[in-house]
Amino acid sequence: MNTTKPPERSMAAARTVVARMSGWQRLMLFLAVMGPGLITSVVDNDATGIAGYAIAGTRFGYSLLWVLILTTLALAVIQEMGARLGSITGKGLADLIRERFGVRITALAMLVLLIANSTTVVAEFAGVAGASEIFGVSRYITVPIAGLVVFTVVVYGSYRRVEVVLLAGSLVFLTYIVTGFLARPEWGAVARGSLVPTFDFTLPYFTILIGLIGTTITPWMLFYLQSTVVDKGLGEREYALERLDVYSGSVILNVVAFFIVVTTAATLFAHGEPADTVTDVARSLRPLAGDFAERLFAIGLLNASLMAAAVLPLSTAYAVCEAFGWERSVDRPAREAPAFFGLFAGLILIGLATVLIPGVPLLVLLFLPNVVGGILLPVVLILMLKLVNDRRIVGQWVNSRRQNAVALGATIAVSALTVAYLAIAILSVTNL
Amino acid sequence: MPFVSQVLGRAVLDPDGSRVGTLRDLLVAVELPYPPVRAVVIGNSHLQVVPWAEIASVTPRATALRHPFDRAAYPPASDDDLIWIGRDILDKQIVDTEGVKLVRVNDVALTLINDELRLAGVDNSTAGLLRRLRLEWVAGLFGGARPRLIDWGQVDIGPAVDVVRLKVPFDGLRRMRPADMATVISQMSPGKAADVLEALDDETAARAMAELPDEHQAAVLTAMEPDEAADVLEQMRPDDAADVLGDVEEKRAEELMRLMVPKAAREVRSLLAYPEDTAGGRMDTSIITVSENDTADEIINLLRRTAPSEDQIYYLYVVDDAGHLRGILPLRNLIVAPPDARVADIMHRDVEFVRVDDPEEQVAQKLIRYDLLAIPVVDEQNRLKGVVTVNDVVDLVTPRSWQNRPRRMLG
Repeated sequence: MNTTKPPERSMAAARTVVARMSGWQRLMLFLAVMGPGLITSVVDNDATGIAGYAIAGTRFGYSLLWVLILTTLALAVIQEMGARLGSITGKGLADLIRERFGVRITALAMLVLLIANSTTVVAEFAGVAGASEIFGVSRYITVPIAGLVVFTVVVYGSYRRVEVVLLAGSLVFLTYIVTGFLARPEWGAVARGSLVPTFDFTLPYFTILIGLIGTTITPWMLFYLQSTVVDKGLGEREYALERLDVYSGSVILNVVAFFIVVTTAATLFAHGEPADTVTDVARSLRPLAGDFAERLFAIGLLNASLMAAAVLPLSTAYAVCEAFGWERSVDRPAREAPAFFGLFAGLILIGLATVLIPGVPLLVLLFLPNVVGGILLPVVLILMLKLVNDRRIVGQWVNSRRQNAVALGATIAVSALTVAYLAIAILSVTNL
Repeated sequence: MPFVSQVLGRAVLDPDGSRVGTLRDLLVAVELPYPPVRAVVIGNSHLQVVPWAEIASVTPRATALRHPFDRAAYPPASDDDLIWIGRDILDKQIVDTEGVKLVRVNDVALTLINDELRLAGVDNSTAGLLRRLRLEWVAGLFGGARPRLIDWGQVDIGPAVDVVRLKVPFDGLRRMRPADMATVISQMSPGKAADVLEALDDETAARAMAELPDEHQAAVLTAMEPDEAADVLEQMRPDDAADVLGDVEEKRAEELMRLMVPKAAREVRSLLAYPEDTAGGRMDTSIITVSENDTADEIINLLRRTAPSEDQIYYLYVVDDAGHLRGILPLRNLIVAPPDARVADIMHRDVEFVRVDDPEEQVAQKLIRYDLLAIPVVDEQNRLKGVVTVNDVVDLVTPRSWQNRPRRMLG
């Protein structure tokens, strides 16, 4: 008679943990290692990003490349701040803003986020419309379908599973790196454009300049990145890896951006061709894939748009509900989380409806959030800087002097550009 | 009944009516029921703490002092003062122990009892939010949304306040059932959840951990201090512990198993050898085995001595010297049998069982088809390895919406 005799098995336990995983779990492990920083960067190269970089290259050739060098640095430092806030506090950005600054500042920050993200969601559906028109399909068919797909996948399916497909699809944009070489750019001009800042005090120049920054460093990405870090339970221990993850994400994002600018500069700008429609921009891929170029571009654009169209409404609804203490979860029935579902569905509907207005210029919709985001970004950056320098919140993990210099520099630069931009805009309007 | 948002930021007046500063915060002794305000923070050029005895009244119009304000008499406010309502509780997340969820504190209701200003409850309603924003008129448009008050007796401010600042952290959470505790903990970030589990005693923490959703378990365990985590794992049933460790990163899992007492670690390790979605991965190894030659009396004495858990006691398993499964002995048969009856004569020989590598769905189906509370698991040689209870597979047979799910952005 004996109790509780544990069965013995002499199997190397080192293998056991992985042995217990299904193929799916192994893939998830890989994605977990891939990390929030990289995923955020991939989502950030959305429809607005592609439009922003392509227009910059088409209108101003290589002369704005220096901006990308600076935004890479700023993005890396700012994203690292977000990742650090998330890992150390275990709280989302909206949560921290509410706890540290109270209701009124939170309301302001959420208003900023809602405005910036609404315009971005509109742009993602404009991306869907643009892609479908390259294929010769009416946007009145594809855009409603896209909205339905996004809604269904997020609410009834598992976004995480779809994410893998979309992430794989975004590899299409790596083709821009190859195209960049095939387009035979003047490398001397590329180097000069990258290293020598030039200024041109005209409205188009400032619009594009702000847009270029605004599409790279966005208010939503700061909320999204931090929430993802918290969601994955990455804490102080994983912080070193997480920092590597956000740094590499920032660099990869900007390498792709760099080559989109180089490609469009070497093709459309060099030949003096305009980029008035999405199809014009798609043509810039010709050196790589000939006539197939447009379709390749369309697939990438569709993919990027769908991914961001799913992530943006969701992360917006999540942040707002987090800030105001409303029930938030896609796992609960809509009636238990009315604000969450209302915001989520509302943003998708706004996106759909705007794009379906007859005669609305897609490229403008695609570019608008870059400028709006650029203008509103300083609000979020200032709040983040205050949080990440508060010892009551992050303890010893406050910003170093160098990190503060870069982040503050970026904030001041973006603010100054915004003021200059608005001044020039008012001047040029009154001159008319 | 005023709200904290209605009194903070208002003028503090001397007895002669002259303004000496602004009311910045209220300091409370949270260890008492309906915590009384012990002091207030007055701000002019800097923050000073003035004891409650000096305060004549606190109203939404102004706070009045009993004696002329003597600036030199009061100490500057410091971090180690009592809990500040405005700084430490307002806008933070706390636990509603009756509602079993984490709620955001939009406002705090005050009440005056026998000259003492006390905290009455927490307002987490949208009406409270609008009051804070001075936008009450918006609520009026919708027919005057009423504030929803959570009685102070049913809140736990543990998640909002640094653990070291509380005499008894997570006092309210401790009194909840483990399943409810887990529901609340699953709404917290992994780091905060780890704080909670570390503050609880190991046994309670183990029960809460076992009830957490799979996705959350690994993250919380990773966020805990390794030796605390190992202590909690030891208190868990080996199959539950193996489930959790199976989801944790490999190096970390190894580290935790090294910190556990060797016996417990060995059991967990043996379970980890089976794939998670099979009978072996789901089974519990803590079972009671008896031999065919034991008598009813001997076994009842054994049970008295070892006091096994209720999960184990309903079925006893009869094995031979080599561990082969011979039959099962239901508790009922044991009790109604005469004291000297031999197990061989009162056991069931015709036993439903599953193999260690049977898929978990098949195990669940058998349990349901034959209406069993538990089913033994054997290896290829018919040796008893463990048992799967209905509780172990309940997640396979209940709708997903009944289960605790963490609030994540992307499900």
